[in-house]
Amino acid sequence: MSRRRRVRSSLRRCDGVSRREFVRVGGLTALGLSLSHLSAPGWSAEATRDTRADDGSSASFGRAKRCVLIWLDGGPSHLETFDLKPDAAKEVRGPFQPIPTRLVGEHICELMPRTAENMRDVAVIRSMTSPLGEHNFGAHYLLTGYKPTPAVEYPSYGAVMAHLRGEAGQPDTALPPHVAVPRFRVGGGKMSGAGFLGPAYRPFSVGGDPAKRDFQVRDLDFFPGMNAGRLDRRRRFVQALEQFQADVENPQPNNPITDRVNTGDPEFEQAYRLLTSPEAKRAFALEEEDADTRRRYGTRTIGQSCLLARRLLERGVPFVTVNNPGWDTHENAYTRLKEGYTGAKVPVGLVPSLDLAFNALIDDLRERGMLDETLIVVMGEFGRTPKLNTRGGRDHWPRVFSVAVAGAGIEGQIIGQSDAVAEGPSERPITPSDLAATLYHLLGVRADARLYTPDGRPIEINRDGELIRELT
Amino acid sequence: MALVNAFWTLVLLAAPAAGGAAETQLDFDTDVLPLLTKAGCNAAACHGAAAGRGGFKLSLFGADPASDYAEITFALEGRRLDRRHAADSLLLAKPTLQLDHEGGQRLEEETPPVQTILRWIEQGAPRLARRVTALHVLPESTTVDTLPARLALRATADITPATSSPANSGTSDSAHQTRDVTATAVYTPVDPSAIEIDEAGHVTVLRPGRHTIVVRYQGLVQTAHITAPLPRPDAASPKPASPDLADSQVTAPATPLDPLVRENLRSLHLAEAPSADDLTLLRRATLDLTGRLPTPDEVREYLASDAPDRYEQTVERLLQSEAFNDFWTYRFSKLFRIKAPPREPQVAEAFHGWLREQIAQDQGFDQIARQMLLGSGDTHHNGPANFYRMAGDPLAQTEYFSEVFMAVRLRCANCHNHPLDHWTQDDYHGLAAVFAIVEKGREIRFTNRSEIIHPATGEPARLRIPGERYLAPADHAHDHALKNANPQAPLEQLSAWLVAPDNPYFARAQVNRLWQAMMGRGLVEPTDDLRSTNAPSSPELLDALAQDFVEHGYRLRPLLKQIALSQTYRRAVRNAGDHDSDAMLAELEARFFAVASPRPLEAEVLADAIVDVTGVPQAYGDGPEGTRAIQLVDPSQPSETLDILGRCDRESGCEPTAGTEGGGLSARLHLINGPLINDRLRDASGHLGRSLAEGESTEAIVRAFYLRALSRPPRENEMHFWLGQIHQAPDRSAALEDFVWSLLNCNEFRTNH
Repeated sequence: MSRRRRVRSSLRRCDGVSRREFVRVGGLTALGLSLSHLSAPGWSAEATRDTRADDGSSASFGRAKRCVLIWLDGGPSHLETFDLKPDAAKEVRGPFQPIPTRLVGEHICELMPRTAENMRDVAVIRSMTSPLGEHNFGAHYLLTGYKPTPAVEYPSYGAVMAHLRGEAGQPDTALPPHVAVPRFRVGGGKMSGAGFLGPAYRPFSVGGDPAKRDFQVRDLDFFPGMNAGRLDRRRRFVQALEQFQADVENPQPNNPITDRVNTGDPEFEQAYRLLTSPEAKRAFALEEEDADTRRRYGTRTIGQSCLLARRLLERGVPFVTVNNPGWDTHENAYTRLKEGYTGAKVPVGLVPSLDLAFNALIDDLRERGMLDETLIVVMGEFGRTPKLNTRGGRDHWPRVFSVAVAGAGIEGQIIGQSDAVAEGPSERPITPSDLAATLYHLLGVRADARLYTPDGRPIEINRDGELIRELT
Repeated sequence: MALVNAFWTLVLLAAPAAGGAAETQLDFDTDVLPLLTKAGCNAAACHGAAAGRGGFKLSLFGADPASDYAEITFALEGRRLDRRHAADSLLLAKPTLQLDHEGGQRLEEETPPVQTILRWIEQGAPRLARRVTALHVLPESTTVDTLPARLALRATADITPATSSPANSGTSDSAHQTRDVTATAVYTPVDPSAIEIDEAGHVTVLRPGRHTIVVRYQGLVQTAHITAPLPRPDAASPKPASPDLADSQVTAPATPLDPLVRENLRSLHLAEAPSADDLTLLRRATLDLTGRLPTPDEVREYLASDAPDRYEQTVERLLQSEAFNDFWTYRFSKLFRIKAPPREPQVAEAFHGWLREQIAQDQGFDQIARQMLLGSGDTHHNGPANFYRMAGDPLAQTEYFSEVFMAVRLRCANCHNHPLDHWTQDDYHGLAAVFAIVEKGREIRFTNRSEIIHPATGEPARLRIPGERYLAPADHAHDHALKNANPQAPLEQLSAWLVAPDNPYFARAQVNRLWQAMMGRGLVEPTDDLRSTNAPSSPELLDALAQDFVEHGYRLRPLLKQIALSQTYRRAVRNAGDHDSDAMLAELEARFFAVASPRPLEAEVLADAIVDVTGVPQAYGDGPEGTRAIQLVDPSQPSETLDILGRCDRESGCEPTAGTEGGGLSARLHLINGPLINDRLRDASGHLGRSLAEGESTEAIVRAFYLRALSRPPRENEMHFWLGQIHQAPDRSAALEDFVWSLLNCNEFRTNH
């Protein structure tokens, strides 16, 4: 065998300075970066080009009009969901058996029969890899495509989508653009989700549990004694106070109060629109769904959350995070992942509940003709250790884990592989940054487009990520 | 590729020493390893990962040359080097892509790095163990003029020859030398949008401000600082602060802090804002020092006083108040993450109660820390011993200790040496070994039984003061002797080191937090991440504050007073009208304290303020009526309101980062449409209910609520507006409810400004 064989097919980068960055450094002015550029906060559509593969021209660009992120908070075990190792030693393969799927020769966990049945519409990446094995860090990386740094908190997918929609003009719904069900508390709760885009782009947490009979969104129905007319007067009063303050700070002669059309406070205005729109509030009325539909999604919180997500998507919400906590299974994995509680006759643990909810969402969207324009992502902040620990659980493991994506015209397939004991990627390692580039591509956001921090620093939507070509 | 070659040509020209013709003996540590680091081979995502990559494992950024040398020369049966056909060595064939390499092409053939590695292999791949003893970067600190500005960094390393050993006798090891390592050092700008830098150290400065570049070479880290001032301000004088109420304003004398801040502003060409008006200052100082609004009586008295030092008197009164004790106990409870374990409320109560005593008597923070570190016995009664109940195992205790008392994120060093700081695994596990002597439970005891296994060696970690020294000389056996003599001895040594006046972390960490509490922004942000590569916005000021803190016995009040009386603290906020025009300028003004930064009231303070303005108390769990949110001992005390407003659950640190606070839409909906405000407006026992029952005039009611909520009387046009609105409303009490509601929902109320 010749050792002089040259393999130049893929210029995959590791960390460090990539060649592309190197080119950038030299060609700074060619990229059109100038100070005048930097002063306008917000979004720059005429972003500069570089040597990235994604020029936004391929057919898959922007195929998804909306997205549901099913976030498995705590770090789901790849070995108990999408990446089983039946031939490995007992302490690696764990308690569950693989079952065949609609993809010939591909198996997933026996606790996910509906997903197995739907696999022609589900792509599973088995070679996700990250160096960050701590909840906050991992969640930040997976939800933003950027590793966390002290210099800046990057915005999550939902905040970016919300921001872009805000830039595109007044939406035709009063619903907030990024809704978290039941609440956005991820990776230990240190992430606001909005990053440098600021509090206005925080996800809206509905607060209540959609699986509860008396579910309602906190503080959404008019407080007793309130009505639209009175709220309108209150808004005028706040507007007057803001105007008084502005006049003091920036005196203008004869500045009449009526000049202002609103309070000038985007968050207040958003709350006001939501409170005064009966149509928007109806999105949360799960009781409008028939009993069969509700049952189909499963009675657990994750199921009813996915159902609520579908109602929100239908009404124009571009991004919904279904946040499902509890996947940090350091101990008692068998009970927590399968049964839900010891001795359950029908398993209602994390994995069966996910299986129900995820596939009900796929089927429902397909039946409504929405699946091809809706992206569904199932992931958590990392995987779990290849070996079971002494407490019957697995610990944090970011070196390889699985992510599932569906909808948006994606074909069912397995992408990448882990090694024999699911310890590292053996083929086609994919980073959270690559995933971000791909998800943004599908959602119609160019990776090299720029966001601006409040002080005007330009930040690319994604840096270093390479498109996952199987998905685009 | 052309670019790469051009680059190395430049390097050759610039640094002839690196390619010198004389056949000097090359060394693994100082000649080869830096090239691998520069090429990114030992980055965390590549072979520097804890488990290596593709069966080839290097230490992160070359922190452990000995193991890297073994990995390259001996592991895999030595197949990574081909000493007869050096060019066929795996070490070169992979990164130059002669063989398939998952990491892609990292090195280009025929370039100096490859030639150096080739020559080194031909020389027999020796490890001479020369050591890099120091790294210098020039310029260390510089100021540039017009942007974009260009400059070049130069990095040099002091290299010490290996002590002669039989192994390399016969080879001529070069003498102690200073070598130009500009081409092989690794450069990382902290803010890549402000600084672009290429591999040869050529810098382009794009944005005004103060910027830091981190320079790494063979385990050593240095920083270069670049100040890029704004274009010179035009002659136009800054706008005055609020025109009314400013008449009585006396320019405050400068405190020793002010010149340090001013020096910074001058160097950046930033203009400082004028002083805020008196009532704004009263409100600001009352909120910052006591976490509550001034009462209407306090506002009236302040207005009525004609004492020239009424502000100074007020600061003194606030510092001595019970409200101060409550508020700073709350602040430090958040810092210490005070929270009770399940079914043991006594833990939080004892800790909180003790802390309040310390703050009430203005105990030095050194004593507070010492008592906590050495606290033992029944944690239900001995408050400070609960320091050991707030974290689990010795590793968690290590991270908690370093974050709370040193503002250092030591946790990175659990698995590998900290890449951006000098922390090592020895530091982390050595400190954990110190905490391993603590036996936890309701009783805290110190024993000599436990030890911590160092993950790199598999041996018990030696007791160590982080970044400093081993506690016992020589070896692990001495650790045993030390602990056997007195189990508590390691903790005594640790606490003595921590609170020594020259400790580089302790005082700085606390003064940075106190500054942040008063100014809304730390000199170092985030406030729990002090390290050489995260430069303070004013190092001189941080040092001066720390020195002042030490000189005043680590007591809170003298330092807070000094800050509160400074001109810097008294500045006005930036005018709202200016904000849209130049966001970058606004950010620089805030970062360097040219203006005051308005910030939202934190959850507990906001809830208390709403209670005070409406006069209707809030019940928290089974706590006594009238308990304030900031007096709650434990964040697990159920309160939906506080949760929605975004209180810290103290699960991990609570330290806010400038700019990321604020409760979002959920919190806003709650304020607008939830019971927190709405219920209180209709309560007959509240201020509004009683005013209505007593038949007070609209004017009196409006005036009173302005004092309560905004800490100032209404201006004439405001009063006129409200009288008109309320007069024409069909239902007067509803209109007045709406008036108070709008006060509680306006920006002026919801912020400390």
